[in-house]
Amino acid sequence: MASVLLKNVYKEFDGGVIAVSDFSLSVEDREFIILVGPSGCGKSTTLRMIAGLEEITQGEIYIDDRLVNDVQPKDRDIAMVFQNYALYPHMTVYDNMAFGLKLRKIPKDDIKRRVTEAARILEIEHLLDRKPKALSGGQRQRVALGRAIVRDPKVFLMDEPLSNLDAKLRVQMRVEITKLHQRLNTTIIYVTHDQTEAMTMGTRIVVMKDGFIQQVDSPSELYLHPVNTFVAGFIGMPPMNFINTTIYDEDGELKVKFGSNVITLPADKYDTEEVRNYIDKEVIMGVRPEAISDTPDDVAASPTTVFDADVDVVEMLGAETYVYMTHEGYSLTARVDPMATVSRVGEPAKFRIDGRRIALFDQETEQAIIT
Amino acid sequence: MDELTKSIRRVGELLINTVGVVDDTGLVIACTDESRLGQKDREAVALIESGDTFRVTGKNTWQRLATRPGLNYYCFIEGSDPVALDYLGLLSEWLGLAVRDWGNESRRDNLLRNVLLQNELPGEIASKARNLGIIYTASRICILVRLEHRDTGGECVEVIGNLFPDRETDYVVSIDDRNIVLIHTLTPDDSGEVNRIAVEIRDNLSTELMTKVSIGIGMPAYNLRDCARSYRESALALEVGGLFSRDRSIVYYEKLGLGRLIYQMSPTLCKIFLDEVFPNDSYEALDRETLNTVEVFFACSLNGSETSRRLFVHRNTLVYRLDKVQKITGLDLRNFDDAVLFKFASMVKRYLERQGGVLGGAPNWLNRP
Repeated sequence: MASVLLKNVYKEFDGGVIAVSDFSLSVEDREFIILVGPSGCGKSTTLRMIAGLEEITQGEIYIDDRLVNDVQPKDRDIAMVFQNYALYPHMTVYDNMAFGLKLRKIPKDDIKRRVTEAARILEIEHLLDRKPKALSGGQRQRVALGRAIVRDPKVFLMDEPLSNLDAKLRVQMRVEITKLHQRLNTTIIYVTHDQTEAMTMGTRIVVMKDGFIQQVDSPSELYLHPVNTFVAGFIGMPPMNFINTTIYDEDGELKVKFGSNVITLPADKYDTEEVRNYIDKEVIMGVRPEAISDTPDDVAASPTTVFDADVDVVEMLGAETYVYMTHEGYSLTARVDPMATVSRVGEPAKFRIDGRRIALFDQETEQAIIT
Repeated sequence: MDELTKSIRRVGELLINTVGVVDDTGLVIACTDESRLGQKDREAVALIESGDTFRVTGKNTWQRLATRPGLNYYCFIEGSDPVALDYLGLLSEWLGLAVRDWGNESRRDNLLRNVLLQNELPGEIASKARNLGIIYTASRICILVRLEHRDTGGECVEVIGNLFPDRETDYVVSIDDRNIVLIHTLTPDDSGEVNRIAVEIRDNLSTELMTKVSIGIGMPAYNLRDCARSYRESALALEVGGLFSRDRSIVYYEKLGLGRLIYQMSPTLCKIFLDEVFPNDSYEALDRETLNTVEVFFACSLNGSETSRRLFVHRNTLVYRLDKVQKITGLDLRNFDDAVLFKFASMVKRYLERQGGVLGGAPNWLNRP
């Protein structure tokens, strides 16, 4: 168990391509932190720099308060789990887990103790005598995790370990890894491009884009208070609706308009100096799909935030329904209660935005004004 | 040796007695007690000098292994009671087989190494391969794994060998302590398989040994002799890849593109070309920020909007920087022909810098016919 500290870390590849820029992050001891972002954002490079598998161009990396910039990867006391795990096909599960320890000349009794303990934690004790071909995908993944656990490292680094699994198994293993973190009580740095994985597993999430950290926060803070349109759009499924609009003051009330629809911003939240600075300026209005409702009761309850739109598609997913709509060139998505929705494909309908859940972003910098 | 070590490990799991094997100089080459490895055993030396095939000495009982003539190995077991003697009889047969296999494996490794390094007479390869049970005509590909640090203990070879344990289709050959070749037999539906294998090797070495590797992949070879070409290509892929795309850990010979062409140009020709494209060292006048902008502009396929988005700069800033490049070099990078010329010349420049600094020229063996 250990803390990890990255101070102003840069990675520049040949030709001046900067993969990671000014990356500073403090990972607490026993924390489960997730690096998330689209492919090419520098998250795997960052992980490999922590592991020592990639040299850093500039900056400092500390593991447990020890500067490790010049420490060999094998001496950093970390274990990595990759997406492309491969088990040794002719070895049993026991031997697969023990192999790395044998290479390190760990005494046999110690190997047995560590493998047995890891198997118990992963609940694969009954599989120790099996060969990989007799295992399911999930069981193989557990063995791959076991190979890292037996090393008893200070920090686990996981680089998209679930990406090769099918959707159902991925959900299952997500829960398994979260439980594993609780059982091992150790520091895990986990890389994924899947925002759902990030939201469900991490205690904190680092959102990256083009080598830069965009925001470091808890899942709920990221979702409710994104710092810019990238984070707002990346976190959440379906993504946040973005509408280019202008704020204006009408009789002391702040309003935004898109098409012929006018939405009044609730004064108690939005009538602030920051928002008033944007009066008569173009902004981006962000609305989460679940903040849009189509039930008659909701529409009647807040007439100042109601808008009209034509329903294009209604997707019934069981526990929720997605309504895709357009209005004068604006496209929006709503996530509504399937039992209460009144939206019908091809028909116009009235929708209500939960006024307190509107986010406003600067149109030029794309930074949040208020969320 | 791999088989013998594995066999001894297995014995260690089954028996509580210490068991080991010494070679004809008395050196312990495999033992369940790993602290004795590499030590010369006095009892063994005395036994070998006496010419006996069986002896009880002190705590141990010794027996010569049942191998083929010319191979002299001895097995020992702790104890001299009847049960230990029974075990020793069985072990000498079993370990004898392992040593014989190792002998074959060793000769096979030597043959393959010599084939790859073109140290084998072409006319003899087929017959030698047949004697060692290697199919001569088969579609194979060479995957060269270059380690950042020396593999003095042979752990990397062991990891790769265990990932591909089928000795009929995959051969792991250690060229030296930093270069390991996997000769993989291709199957008709192997599309994408080679990349998967390369990624698996890279990730497994990182997982097990925390070792950074670069992997070069040659073109398919259709007989054993042709594997030398595939190996040369994989080595060239690493050399050229190291020059032009050092951020990539897996490099394909077939995807070297312009780099392969430039690699074959003489330094004199490169200098003449650079003087023509960038007269008066105009390239040197470009600052780091501008060069980074150009790199991203190329990466975005000359798309201005995408480039300014990725660089977080206003489009006018991008236009200003591209104008600056045009003013200094005379090349308008928005024009495809000029962009190609700039790209090619900047690669030539990088090649010249590296060749003068790091490389010191291509190794001679890469240029063999």
